[in-house]
Amino acid sequence: MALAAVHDHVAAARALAAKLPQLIDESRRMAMSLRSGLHGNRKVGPGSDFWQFRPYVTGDPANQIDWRRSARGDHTFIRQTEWQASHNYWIWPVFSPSMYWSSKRGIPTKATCTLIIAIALADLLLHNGETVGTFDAERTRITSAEHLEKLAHAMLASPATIADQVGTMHAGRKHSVLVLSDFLEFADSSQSQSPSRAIKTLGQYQNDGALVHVLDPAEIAPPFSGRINFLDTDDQMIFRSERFEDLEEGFKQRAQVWRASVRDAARENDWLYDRYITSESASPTLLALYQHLSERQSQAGSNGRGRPITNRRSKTGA
Amino acid sequence: MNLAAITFLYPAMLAAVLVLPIVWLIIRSAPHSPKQIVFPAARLLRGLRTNRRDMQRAPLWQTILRCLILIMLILAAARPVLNRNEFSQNDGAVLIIAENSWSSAANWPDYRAGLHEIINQARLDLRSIYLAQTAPEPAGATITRLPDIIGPVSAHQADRFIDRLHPRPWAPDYPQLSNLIADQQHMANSIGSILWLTDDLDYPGKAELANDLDALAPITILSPKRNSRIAIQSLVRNRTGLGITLTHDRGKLARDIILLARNDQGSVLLRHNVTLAATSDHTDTEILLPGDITNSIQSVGVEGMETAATVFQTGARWQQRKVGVIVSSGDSPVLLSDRYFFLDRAISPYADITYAPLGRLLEDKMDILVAAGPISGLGSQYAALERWVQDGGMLVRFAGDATTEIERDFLPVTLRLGNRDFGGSMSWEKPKHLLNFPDSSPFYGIQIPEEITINRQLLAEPDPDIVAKTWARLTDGTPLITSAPRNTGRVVLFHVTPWADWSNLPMSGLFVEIWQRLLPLASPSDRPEAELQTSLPPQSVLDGFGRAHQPDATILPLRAPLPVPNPRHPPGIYGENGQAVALNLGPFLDNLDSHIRWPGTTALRKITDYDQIDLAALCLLAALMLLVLDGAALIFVHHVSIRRSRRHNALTTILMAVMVGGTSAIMILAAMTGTASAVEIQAAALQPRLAYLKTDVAAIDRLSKSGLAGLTEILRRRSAADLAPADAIDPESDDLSFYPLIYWPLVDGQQPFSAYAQAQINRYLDSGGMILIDSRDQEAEPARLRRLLAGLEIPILDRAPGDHILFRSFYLLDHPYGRFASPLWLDARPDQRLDGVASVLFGGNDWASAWMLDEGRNSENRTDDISPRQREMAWRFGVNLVMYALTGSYKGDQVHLPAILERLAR
Repeated sequence: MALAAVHDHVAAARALAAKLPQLIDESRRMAMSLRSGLHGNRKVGPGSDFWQFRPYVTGDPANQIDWRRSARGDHTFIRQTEWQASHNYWIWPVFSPSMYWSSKRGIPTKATCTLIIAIALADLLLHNGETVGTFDAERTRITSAEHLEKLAHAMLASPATIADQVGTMHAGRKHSVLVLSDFLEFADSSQSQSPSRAIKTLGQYQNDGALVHVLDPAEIAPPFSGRINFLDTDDQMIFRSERFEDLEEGFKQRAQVWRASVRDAARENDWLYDRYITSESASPTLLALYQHLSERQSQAGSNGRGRPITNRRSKTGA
Repeated sequence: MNLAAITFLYPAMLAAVLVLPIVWLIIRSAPHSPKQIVFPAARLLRGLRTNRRDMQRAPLWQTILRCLILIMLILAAARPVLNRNEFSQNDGAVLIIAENSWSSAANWPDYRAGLHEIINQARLDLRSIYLAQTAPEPAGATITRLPDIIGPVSAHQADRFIDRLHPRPWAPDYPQLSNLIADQQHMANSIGSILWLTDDLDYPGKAELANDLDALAPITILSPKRNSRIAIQSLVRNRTGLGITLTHDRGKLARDIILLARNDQGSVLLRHNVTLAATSDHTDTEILLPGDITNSIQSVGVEGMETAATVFQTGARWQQRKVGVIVSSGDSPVLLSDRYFFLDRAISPYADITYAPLGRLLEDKMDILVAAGPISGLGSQYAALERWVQDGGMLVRFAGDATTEIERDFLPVTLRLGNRDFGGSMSWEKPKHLLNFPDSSPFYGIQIPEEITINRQLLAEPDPDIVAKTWARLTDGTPLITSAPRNTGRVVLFHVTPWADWSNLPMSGLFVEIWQRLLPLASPSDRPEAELQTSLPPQSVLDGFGRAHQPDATILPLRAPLPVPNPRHPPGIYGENGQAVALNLGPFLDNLDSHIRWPGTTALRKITDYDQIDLAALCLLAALMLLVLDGAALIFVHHVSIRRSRRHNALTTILMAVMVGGTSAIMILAAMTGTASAVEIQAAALQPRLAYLKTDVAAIDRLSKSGLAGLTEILRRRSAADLAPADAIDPESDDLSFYPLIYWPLVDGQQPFSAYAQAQINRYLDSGGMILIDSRDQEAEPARLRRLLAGLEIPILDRAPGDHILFRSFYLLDHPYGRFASPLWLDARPDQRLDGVASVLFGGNDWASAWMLDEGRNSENRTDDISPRQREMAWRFGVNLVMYALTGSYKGDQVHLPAILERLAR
């Protein structure tokens, strides 16, 4: 059915929306398994409630000094608040037409995988008390896991291209932005759109974020041979190959360049880049994302910008 | 299969093979259409350089396959023919003369194969065909003539005709054929070649015919591979068994054949090897055989040769009778041989003679008893002798010595006292001669020699029936041989002595001939008819293959002397029981070794086994199969791409399925057209139904249809006869044999039937069919019918008697009611073979109009003059009629009903 949807991405999106309850279920299961492995965040973080005093060290902002506590002794103390889930996260799965395609019957479409990861992540974050939103027309934001379905619908309605729409996306200051896409719109070398500019625009207000590059296995190693007319999902001829065997090397090289361009765009902005292949399990990607987002938040309080986490998968993917 | 046997009708088409390399290149360089794959990431490939020169070619196997298809098509266009027989080069129609006289039977399969080959070739060459046969056939009431030359016909029609052609057991009539061909001027103009299937046996008129034909068009003589001609010329009994004379052609080598003797059951009594001498055209052979086995021989044939010429049937005369001569116990054998010398010489070649007293002879169950003068020892055996005669014995008596008075009993006539002398010393009268035998006598036809003289005779009283009892008389009209039946037996009296004192008759050859005719009359097993017949009706006749058949109406009774077998008298058995005479073909065949001298320009060929086969269809079939294979391979190769881009290949698959399905449907349809008529026939055979003959007048046909529909419905309501809806039939094309009753309305200006249709109707009538002919105008006169239906074998018709089964087979009726109630005519003497059931009924009562049901009646066929009662009576007659057609004379057997009921009650 995913195949049938390829030719009409609106219908495909609708089909995906019809499956949302199952997908949300699946996402919750995945989030649950992740949550059980993490422990409550009883630690210092952004929040309004008092958490602890700690001695002042040089360089701490002066407005954080708790003068009353410092006055009671010789040392100067800084008042730290508990990390409170008041942070905003924007999750943007980009459902471009090519996302609804899969190379084989057994492999779910990129759109399905993307939605599952996006919702699972949202679920995790919501349980931590964060606010999660997406870039649909209403800029839907929810704070409770009960509204996940609404969020999912909003995600499906969010813009389907990055380069054209990125200018209208205005995440709040220091909000985290998560973009999940196949970034195929940046694949065409002839067009002068570069992913790095788009990411820069997204991260212009000290925004933290991550790019998840969702890929079909065929997009890494195409299994074709012979005389082939390659069509787009709208049956438009893309390319006519006489002998694909001859072109395979060229394709692989270009694919690598393309992926590298996306990765570099993430690095330039100090964002996380992760690659997710639809034939594989989504859990590692999800875990990496979650850890990255949560840890970065803890650091964000001190210096705002941190180095991107390079996990196992981003090492191999580069 | 020999490749050299293949010839091409249009060899120029083979030049098309020259373009094959070009086509090869085209096919090779035109690869199959690319796979369609949806792959959004392919945009990465945009602008990538592709190596055009390294373009993918069509796979080699595909190229070869497609070139093979092309080659097959080219071959088919060139019309390859296997075993082509170029019988005639000329254009124009072909005249085929098919030999179907007696000599063709031995090689009939060859002739058939040859005919089919010729017709096959004519079909390929698109020539029309004329067909002539050489054996005359009965026509009309008494005459015989050659069948007309058929043509011009298409090969298909000719094939059908050939299937009906069969050899005849009589001689060909070449002079008449010559005339026939000369009469057909239009044919002479159109024929381009003549093919004559015949052997090289010379026959009167054959060479002349060949010369005549040679003037018309080139002749090709097709003769069979095997050219041996054998006929059994004679079969005689002798003291030790039998002697057979075979006449045959001179072979280069001596040939061995096997003679088979069969009894009346057809089982083989004897196999006898005969070697045909190479140097002579006659071979005699003797077979030692006991008399009683010889007696039971019914026919002698040659193994492996099924022809009328090699079948020799024996008649009643063949069977040897046991003759007992009654002597008194005191007579010594020495004296006997003296007294009965001439009798002994006359009878003994043909019968066993025993001399014994009456008592012993009666015990030995003799067929014939001979007594000269008074029967000695009669006193005690009187009753026994009486019984023996009554049970079928034949008592032949002679006058005895002048002194002894012959007793009154066991005589056919009353004798006067004393006897009559002429020519003796005491008489003025001259010795008397014999008159010719009257045609009521069994001796009719025997030539009487001049030198027979009668000096003394017993005189019979001139009783009123003396003429009927007399078999031979003297010139003054006084009887010499008299006879009278006694129950199944017979008493014969020679009015002279069996020795040579009263006359020289016993010394003459005439005496032998008389005995030859007399002996078979005493039939040992069958009851002789009390009345003797001189015109012998056919009992069974032989066809060209020497197989016995029921005689049909065209065969005339036989009279002595025996004629040469001809269409009116084919070989066979004529006459019943003791008078049965076998007419054989063999004795009339002589000089089988003669070879005809054909005109110099004649081409001679042998008929070959190899029929030519048109291979074009085979090539087309092969091309089609390869095409299907190609399609299947394409589907298989693109199997992966079906998954990739389903829509296009699903379309291809559907197209392919439609193509394959369509092709097979066309092929099945083509096969069906050949069997469509078979399906109709099957439908007709599945259920009994009435039928009406299609006329050219649609209104009459509708009337017949609704009339028979009404009758069928009435039958269904009132009787157990549940018939299917009536069929319209056309004797020109339909098989009539499924219909128990055919209704035939006569219309004005009816086209006469073709010979084929006439034969069909005749066969239908002959095999028990029934036709109701309706003149529809109250006028039913057989003479009129005869005029209308010339060519059909309408039997002699008579008014149906009031007690005919037809009037009581279901309802009791007194008239054949229809719209009118005029009398019905039907077979005066229905054939006993058909159980006495009439086959032709003729009337003019417009039955169809009266049989219609109310709902079938409309403005067109309104018949207001039929009252409800009339209609009811007509239906009753219709029911009776169908019952009669379905049950035959069964209802007539109800005369036995009281006896059956009585038996049941007991």
